[in-house]
Amino acid sequence: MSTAKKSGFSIYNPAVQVVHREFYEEILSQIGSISPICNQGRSAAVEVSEDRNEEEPILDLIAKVEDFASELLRLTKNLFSQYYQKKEEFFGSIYGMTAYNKINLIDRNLLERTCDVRWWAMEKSFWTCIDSYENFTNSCQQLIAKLTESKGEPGGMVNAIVEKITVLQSSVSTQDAYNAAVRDLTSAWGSFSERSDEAEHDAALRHLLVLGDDLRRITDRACLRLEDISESYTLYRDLVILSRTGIVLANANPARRQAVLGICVAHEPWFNEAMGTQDGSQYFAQDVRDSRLENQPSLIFATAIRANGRETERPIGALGVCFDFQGECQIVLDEYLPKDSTGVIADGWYCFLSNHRQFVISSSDDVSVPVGTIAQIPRSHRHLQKGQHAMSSGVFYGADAFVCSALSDGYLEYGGLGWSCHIIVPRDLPVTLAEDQLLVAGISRSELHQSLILPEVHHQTSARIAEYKESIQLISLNGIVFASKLGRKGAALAPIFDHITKTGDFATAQMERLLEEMAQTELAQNLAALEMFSKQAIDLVDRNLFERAADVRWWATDHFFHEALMSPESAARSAASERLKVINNSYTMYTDLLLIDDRGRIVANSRPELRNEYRDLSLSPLPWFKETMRSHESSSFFTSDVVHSSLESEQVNSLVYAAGVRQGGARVSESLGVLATLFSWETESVNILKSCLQKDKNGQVIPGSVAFYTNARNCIIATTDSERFPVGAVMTFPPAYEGLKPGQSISGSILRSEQRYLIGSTLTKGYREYAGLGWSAHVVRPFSAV
Amino acid sequence: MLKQYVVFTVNSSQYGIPLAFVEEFDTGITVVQIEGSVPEIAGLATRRGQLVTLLDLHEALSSRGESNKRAAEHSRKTILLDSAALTHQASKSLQRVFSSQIALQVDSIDYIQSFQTELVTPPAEEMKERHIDSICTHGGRIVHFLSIESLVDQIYRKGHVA
Repeated sequence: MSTAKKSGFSIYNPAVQVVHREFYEEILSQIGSISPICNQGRSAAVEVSEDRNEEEPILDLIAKVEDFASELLRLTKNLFSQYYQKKEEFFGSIYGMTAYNKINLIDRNLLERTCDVRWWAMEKSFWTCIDSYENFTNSCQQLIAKLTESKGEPGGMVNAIVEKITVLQSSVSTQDAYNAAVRDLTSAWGSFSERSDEAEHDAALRHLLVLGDDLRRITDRACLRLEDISESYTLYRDLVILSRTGIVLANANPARRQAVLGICVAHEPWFNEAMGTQDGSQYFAQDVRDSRLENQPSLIFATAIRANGRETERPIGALGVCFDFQGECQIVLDEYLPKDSTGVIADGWYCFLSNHRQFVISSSDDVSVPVGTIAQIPRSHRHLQKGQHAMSSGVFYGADAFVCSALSDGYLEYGGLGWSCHIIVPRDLPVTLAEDQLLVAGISRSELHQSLILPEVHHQTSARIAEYKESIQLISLNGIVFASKLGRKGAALAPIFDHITKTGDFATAQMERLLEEMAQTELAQNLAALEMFSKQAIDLVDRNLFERAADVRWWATDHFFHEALMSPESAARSAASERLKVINNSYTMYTDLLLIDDRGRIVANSRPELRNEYRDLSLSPLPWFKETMRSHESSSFFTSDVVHSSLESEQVNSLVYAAGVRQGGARVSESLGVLATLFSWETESVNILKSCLQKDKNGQVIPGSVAFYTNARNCIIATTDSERFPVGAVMTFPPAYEGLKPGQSISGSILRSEQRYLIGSTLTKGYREYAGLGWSAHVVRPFSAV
Repeated sequence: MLKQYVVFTVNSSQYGIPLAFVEEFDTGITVVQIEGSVPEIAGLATRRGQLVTLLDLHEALSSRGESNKRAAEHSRKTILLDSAALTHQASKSLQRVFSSQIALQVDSIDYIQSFQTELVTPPAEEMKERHIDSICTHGGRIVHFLSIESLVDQIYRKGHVA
C-alpha cells in the first residue's frame, strides 16, 4: 500500500480529537507551571542556606525536575504523534483492504456474468429464435421481391401490399402488433388476390404466415427462457436476444418488453463487439454507459449467438445481458460503513466507484458524490497499479478525511474494467468505547497492556511513565529529607516540592489515563476490524454460493438433460455428458457436474475420467437427492453441508448443489431426475478467507492471524490454518455468541492452544434468494500468550 | 510522640529506618564489586566525588529458604546514610575501612511517614537476630524497623573476620 507522506505532529492537526487537544494543553499548562516553581525553589535554596554544600543537592533536585518536565513534554508529544500515525496506518490498512475487497467482490461478481453470458448464448431457444426470425424475414423479402417482379399487377395495390408485409415484418416482435398486421395484410390481400391470378403468391403468403406464427411461438418461448434465467439470477435487469441486424427479438423483463422488442441497437458498440467475437469463449463487457435498451446507464455483457448453439460456428445474432450494476453496487458500497440505528450511513463516510476515466460510476451518496462527476481524489490515487491500494489524508468532499482507494485487478480470467473503489473516512473519527469493552472481550486490564495488539510506542511509553513516577517519588522524598535537615528553615522548601510532586503525579496519572484510553481504543478498533473482515468473508462466500444456487437451477432446465433422462439411448446421455463438460469448462469452480436418474444412478457427468468410479454408485439414500426428487418447482434447489461423500476422493470435500430436472424444462412438474453440481469448496473458500485476514500497513498478513468458517454446529468447514484451527474441529465460542441473528456480527476473545486470540465473527444472512446454511465466518488475530 | 521513618521494601517485606539517618535517595547507581568482600557488601560507587559503600540489604536481610524475589539491578534504589548520624563504633569503623559513606541498596523506597512511638511494639525474639528493633502496622502491612547500626556492625564484623 502506498501512503501519503507524513509530516511532523501538530496538535492543530484536524485529526487530533478535541479531547486529546484539551489533554495536551492541560499537560502543557501543568508542565509550564513547573518552571516558575523551580525558580522559586532556587531562590528558596539560597535563602534558607548559605552553605553551598546544603544548597547543591537542592539545586540538583530542581535541575532534575526541569529535565523531567521537558522529557515529559517530549514524551507526550511523541505519544500523540505515534498514536495518530498508527491510527492513520490502521485505518489506511483496514479501509484500503476493505476498498480492495469491495472492488474484488464486484470483480468476482462480474466474472460470473462473463461465464453466464457465454453459456446462455448456447441455449437452443435463443438460436432457434434467431433462425426463425431469419427465415421469416427472408420469406418477407422473397414475397416482396416476387410481388414487385410480377408484371401486370396493379402497381398501386402491389405497393400497398409490400408496405403491409414490411409492417408485418417489423411488428413480429409483439403479439398484438403482429396480429393487427396479419389482419391488415390478409384483408388487403383478399382484394389483391381477386385481381391477381398467381396462386404462387397465395402459397407464399400462407407460408409466410406460418413462419410468422412459428416465430411468434418461438419468440414467446425464448422470452420465457430468458425469464427463467432472470428468475434464477435476480441480479439482471434485462436480457435480450438480437438478430444479426441488431433487432431485439426477445427479452427477459416483461415490464420493458413493450419498450425494447423490435428496437435496433446495431450502432451500439457492445452489439458490434459481440458480433465480432471469434468463438464461444469470447465475450465483451461494456463499461457503464447509455444504451437504447434501458433508461439508465447500463453495464452490458454480450457475446454472439452462434449457429446451432455451437461454440465454433458463425455468429447469427447476439445475447446482451444488462447487469443490475447500480443495485448490486449500492449493496456493496453501503456495506462496511458505519450506520446509525436507522441504517443511515454515518456523516462524512462515503464510498464510490470510479472508472478508468476517473468518472464516478456508482456512489453511496449521490448528493455529495454524484455519479457522472470526476472523482475528487488525489492524483496518486488515479495512477495505482492493478490490485494496489493507497491511503491519503486531506480535504475530500468538504471535510478533513482519509481517502482509501484500491484499483481492480480483476478476478481469475476476468481482467476487470479498470475500476477503482474509494472510501472516504472522516479524519476526526471518534471511537465510541463500550464501558465494558474489556469485559465484553473477556480480557483483563494487565493482559491488554501487555498484548500484541498495542504498538511498541505504547509499551515504551508505559515503561517511561513508570520510571517517571519513580523519579517524581524520589524527588519528593529527597525534598522532604533536605527540608528536614534544614530544620525550620527548610519549611520554605516544603510547598515547592509539594507542588512539584502534585504536578508530576497529575501529569503521569493523566498519561496513564491516556495510555489506558489508547489501549482500549486499539482493542475496540481491532475488534471492529475483525468483525468487519468476518462480515466480508461471509458476504463473499454467500454471494458465491448464491451464484451456485442460480447455476444449478438454470442448468437443470437445459433440454439436453431432460432428453437424456427421458431417453434410455446412450446417444442422449453422451450428448448430456458433452453438455455438462462444456458448462464445466466455462465454470471452473466445479469439480464435477452430475446428471442423476430417478433411481439415484449417475447417467452423465462432466468429467469422463470419473465415470467408472460412479458406475455402481447409488445416490438415492442421500438426503439432498431425496429432497430434490420430491421438489416440484424449478425455483427449488437443495444443498448439503460440507461433508465428505462417496462422490469424492479422500482429500476433497465438495459442496453439493442439486435441482430437479423436469420434462420440457417446465417450471412446475415432477422431477425426472437430479442435476447435481460439486462445488470446489475448499479451494474457493480458502481463497476468500485469505483475502479477509487482517493485514498491516504494508499489506502483510499480521503474523498468526487465521480465518475460518464454521457450520451451524460450530464445526470448522474451511480454514487458513490447518494446524491451529483444523477442519472438523468444533469451536467453543464466548457465551455472547449464543442467539446471534442472521447477518449480525460479534467480537470477543477465545483461548486456543495456550494463546488468546481476538475474534470477530458474522453469522450468514444469505444473499438474495440464497438463505444460507447457518454458517459463520470468523477472523482471529493473536492477542497474548496465556 | 511522633518520629519520622523512611519505609522501603526488600524481598517483599517492608522495613523502616529513622529519617534522621538518611542523607539522600538515589536510583540507578553504577556499582563496582569488591573482590573477596562478603555478599552483604554490594560494592563501591562514587557520588558527588565521594566513595560510597553499598550494603546489599537483600542479602543482609534474607534468611535461608526465603524466596529470592528482588528488583532488577537497574531499578534498585539507594538510601545514602548520613555519616554524621551514625554513632555506633562499627559504623564508624566501616566508614574508616572503606574511606566512604555508607548506602543501603533496597528494592523500592515506599514513603516517609511519622509513626507514633507508642504504637511501635517490640518484635518477636527471633526477629531481633535479624536486626529488627520493633514493628508497627501501617496501611495494612507490617513495617519492620531496622536497627541500622546493629546491621552495619554485623556486616563489619563478618567482613573483618573474612
